[in-house]
Amino acid sequence: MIRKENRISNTQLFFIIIQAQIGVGILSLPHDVSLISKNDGWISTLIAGAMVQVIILVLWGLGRKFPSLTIYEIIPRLIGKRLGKIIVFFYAIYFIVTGSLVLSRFIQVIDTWILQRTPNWILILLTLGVCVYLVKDTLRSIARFYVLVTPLLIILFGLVTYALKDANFLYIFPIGQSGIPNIVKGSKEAIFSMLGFEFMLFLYPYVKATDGRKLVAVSSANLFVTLFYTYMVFASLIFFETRQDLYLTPQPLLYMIKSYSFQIVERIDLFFLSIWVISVVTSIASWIFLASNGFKYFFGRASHARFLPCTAGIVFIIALLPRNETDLQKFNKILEPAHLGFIVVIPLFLFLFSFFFAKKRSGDHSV
Amino acid sequence: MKFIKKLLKYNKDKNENSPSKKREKISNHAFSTIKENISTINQIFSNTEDLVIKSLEIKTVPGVIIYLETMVDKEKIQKYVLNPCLQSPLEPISDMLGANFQSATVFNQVEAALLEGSCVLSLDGYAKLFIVDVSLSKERSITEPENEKVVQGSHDGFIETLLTNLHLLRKTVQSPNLSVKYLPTGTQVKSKIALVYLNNLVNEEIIHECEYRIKSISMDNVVNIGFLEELIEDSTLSPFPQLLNTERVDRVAGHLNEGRVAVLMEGSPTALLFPVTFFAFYQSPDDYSSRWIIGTFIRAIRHASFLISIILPAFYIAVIAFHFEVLPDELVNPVGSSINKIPFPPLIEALIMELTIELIREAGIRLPSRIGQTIGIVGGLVIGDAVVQAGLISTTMIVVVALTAISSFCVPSHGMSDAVRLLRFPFMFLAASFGFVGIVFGYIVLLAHLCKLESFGTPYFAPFAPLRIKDIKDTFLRLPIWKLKTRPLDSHPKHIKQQDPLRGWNYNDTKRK
Repeated sequence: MIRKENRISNTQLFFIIIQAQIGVGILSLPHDVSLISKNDGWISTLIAGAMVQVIILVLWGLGRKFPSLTIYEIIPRLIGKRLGKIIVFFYAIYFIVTGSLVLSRFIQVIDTWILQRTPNWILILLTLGVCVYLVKDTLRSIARFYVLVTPLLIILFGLVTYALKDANFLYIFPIGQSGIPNIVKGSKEAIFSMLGFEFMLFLYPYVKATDGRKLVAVSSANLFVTLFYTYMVFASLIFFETRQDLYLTPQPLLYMIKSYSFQIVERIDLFFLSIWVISVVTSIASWIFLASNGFKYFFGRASHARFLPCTAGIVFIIALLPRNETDLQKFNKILEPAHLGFIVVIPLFLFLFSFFFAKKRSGDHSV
Repeated sequence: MKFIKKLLKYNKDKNENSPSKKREKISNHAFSTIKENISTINQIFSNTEDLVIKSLEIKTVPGVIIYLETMVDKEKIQKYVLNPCLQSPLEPISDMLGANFQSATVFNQVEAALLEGSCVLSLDGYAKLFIVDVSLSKERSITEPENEKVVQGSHDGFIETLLTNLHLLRKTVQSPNLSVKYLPTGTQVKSKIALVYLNNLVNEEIIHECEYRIKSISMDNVVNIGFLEELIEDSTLSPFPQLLNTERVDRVAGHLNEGRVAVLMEGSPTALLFPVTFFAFYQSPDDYSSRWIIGTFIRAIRHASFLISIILPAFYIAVIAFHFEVLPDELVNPVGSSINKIPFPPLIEALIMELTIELIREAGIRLPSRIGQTIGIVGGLVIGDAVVQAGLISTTMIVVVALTAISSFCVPSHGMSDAVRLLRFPFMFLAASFGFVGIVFGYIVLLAHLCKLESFGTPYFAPFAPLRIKDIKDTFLRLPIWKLKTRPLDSHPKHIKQQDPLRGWNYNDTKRK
C-alpha cells in the first residue's frame, strides 16, 4: 500500500516531530505562559509536555491498532465511508486553519521585527511558495530536509544561553508561588506551542520500525521539545527582573538577545529570527502537507501534489484575515475547541471504537 | 486547427522518408562477385572520393581492396594487406586469409570497419569480405588536464581516443574485475560509448539503469559527452551537475574503487562518473596525497567557498539595504563613508560588478593565453580601480565581489563552479527585496532542492540528507586513510568493507610492550 520511496526511518520520525512541534510559539511562549502562571511558567511548560505525552499515548494506541493505515484511512474504515469522508474533509480544513493561524502569527512577528514596510500579502505568498516547494514531492525528501535543518536549533539554544550572562537565578524564587490552579491553566497556553505532534497520526504507517520504537521516537521528540521550551521559558524568567517586563514584551526572547552584541555584529536578534524562520516554515509546511493529503483521501486521488495550490490558496486567504494582535487572540480562542476535538476527542473516540471492531476485522489491517 | 493538424501530418510523412529509414533498401549480405560488392559499398558511402578501390590478384583469384584513404596508414596497408597477399605463395588462400583477416558477411560490419580505418578485401567467389585494421592514429600525447591540475600525484589525463583512455584505466586499476561494456549510440553517426566499472563492487541496478537510459537514446548524432550527460542525468532543471566530469585517470580510478561507474566516449577526454553526491564535486586527488589534517583544512575551506560565493554578496546587499544596524559602531563609519556617495542601490552595484567579472572571465577563456592575461589585468585592476575613483561603485562592494569571485573558482569541478556562480544571482535579488528573510527563504529552497535531487537512485546530498554520520568521514572532513574502513554507502557497493585494520604494526608493537 505504501510505496518504498515513501518509507521513512525511525530517526527521521523523531526529527520530523521536533520540527513540526517547534514553530512560531517559541518566541511568545515565555510571555503567554508567565501571564498566567507568573514565576512558575517553566513548571507549566513541563506539565504541558506531560499532557502532550498522554495524548501521544492515545494517538499511538490508535496507530498501533491500524499499523498500515493513516488517520485518513482509519476514519472511513471505522465509522463508515460517507460520514468518515466528511470528517476527513473537516480534518483537512482544521489543518488548513491551524496552518493559517501560525502563518499569520509568523508574518506578524516578521512585520514588527524585520520587514516593517513590506506588505504582508507578499510575505505570505513567499512563505507559502517555499512551503509548497518543500512538500510537493515524496515524504522522504521532506524528512531529509527536516533532519538537515534540526541542528540549527543548537544555534538558537546557544544565542539564548549567551544572554544568561546577565541573568540572576534568584528571580525564579519562590517556586510554586502562583498556586497549582494557575500553573495548570498556564500549561494550557504552552500546549498550543507544542502542536505538531499530531503529524504522527499521518506518519505512523510510513515509518519502518516496530510499534514500540515508534513510540520511543515520538516520545523522545516530545521530551526534547518540552525541555527546549522549558529552557527558553526558564531563561527568560531569570533574565527579566520584574514580571512586568515579561508581561509587556510579547516576544521576550528577542529582547533578551537584543540586549547584547558581539565585536563584529550587533542586533543578534535578527540572526536569531532568521534561523527561527526555518523552524516556522517546517511547521507550516507540515500542516499544508497534512491538509493536502486530507484532500487527497477525500477526493480519492493518487497524489497530494495537485491539491497543494488550492490548499495554499485557502491558507493565503485565511492568513490575511487577522489584522492585529487582538484579531489573532480571537482567532486563537475560536480554534481552541477545534484543537481539542481533532487531536484529542476524535482520536480517543476512534481508539475506543476500534476495540469493538478489532475482533471483527483483525485480518484486514495487518501489513 | 485542421490546418495545424495537416501541418503536423505533413511533418510526420516527411519524417518517414528521413534518411535513417532509407538504408534498409540496400541488401545487407555480402555478394560473391566483386562488382556487386563494390557498387554496394559505393552506394553506402555515397560515392565519396576518398574511398579507394584497387584491384589486385591473389594467386590468380581476382580481388579488390577497399579503404578510405583519409583513415588509413599506407605503410600498414603494405605491411598487413599487400605483403601477406602477394608474397606468400606457399600456403593456400584460405589459410592466409584466416591468419591475417577477420571475415564479415554483412555490410553493416563492413561499413563500421571502413569508418574506423580498416581495409576491406573482396575476392571473387567468396561471399565474404575480409577486414584488417590499418587505421591511421593521430592522437595527442598524454598530458595533465589543464583545468584539473594537482600539486602531487599522478599527472596522467585522458585524451580523445577511447582505446587509449581505457588502456590508461586498465593500467591504473590492474584487476580482472574491471569490466568494460561498449554501447554504441546514435542512429546516423555512431558514437562509441564505454561503461567502465569494477564488477565485484558496482551495484547491478545502477548498471541496468544506466544501460537502459543510454539505449533509449534515439538521436541521429550524439555529438559530445555533454549531450550524453544531459540525456541520462536525472533532473535537467537543476542547476547542479549530477554526473561528475573529470579528465583525470586517478580520480576515475578512485571512484571506481568506491563502486561507481564511469562512462567514456570516443572523441572526448572527459569521463562521466555516477552516482555521485554533492560532496564528490569538492574532492580533489590532492586531498589524499597531503597529510590528513591539511587535507581536512583545505576541504573545509572549499566548502566554505561554496557558502561564501552564494551568500556573501546577498548578505552584503541585505546589510546595506535593510539591516544596517547589524554593523557594530566601529564599522558603521568606514562602510558608511564608502557607500555614501554611490548613486546606485546596492543591488545594481553588485549586479554591475558581478556581470563585469563574468565578462572578464568569459573573455579570458576565449582569448589566446597571452592576451587573456592582459584582459585579466585590464579588467581586474584597471576597471576595479577606475570604477571606485569614478564614484560608481563602493570599495567595500569591490572587496565583496572579488572575494566572491575568488571563492567561486575554488571548486575543483567546473560544472559545480558554474552552478555556484549562477546561484548567487537569485540570492542577490532575494536579499535586495526581503533582506535576511529573503536569504533564508532562498536557503530553504536550495536545501530542499538538494534533499530532493537524486542521481541514479542515490540521494544527492548524502551523507547529510539522509543523515549517515559514519560517511561524513570523507566529505568535508578527510580523516586519515586508516580510518576509512568502509566505502561510502551512497553508491550502494556490493562490499561495504574497504580494508582491514591498517597500521597493524602499530597495534602489534603496543601489544608486545
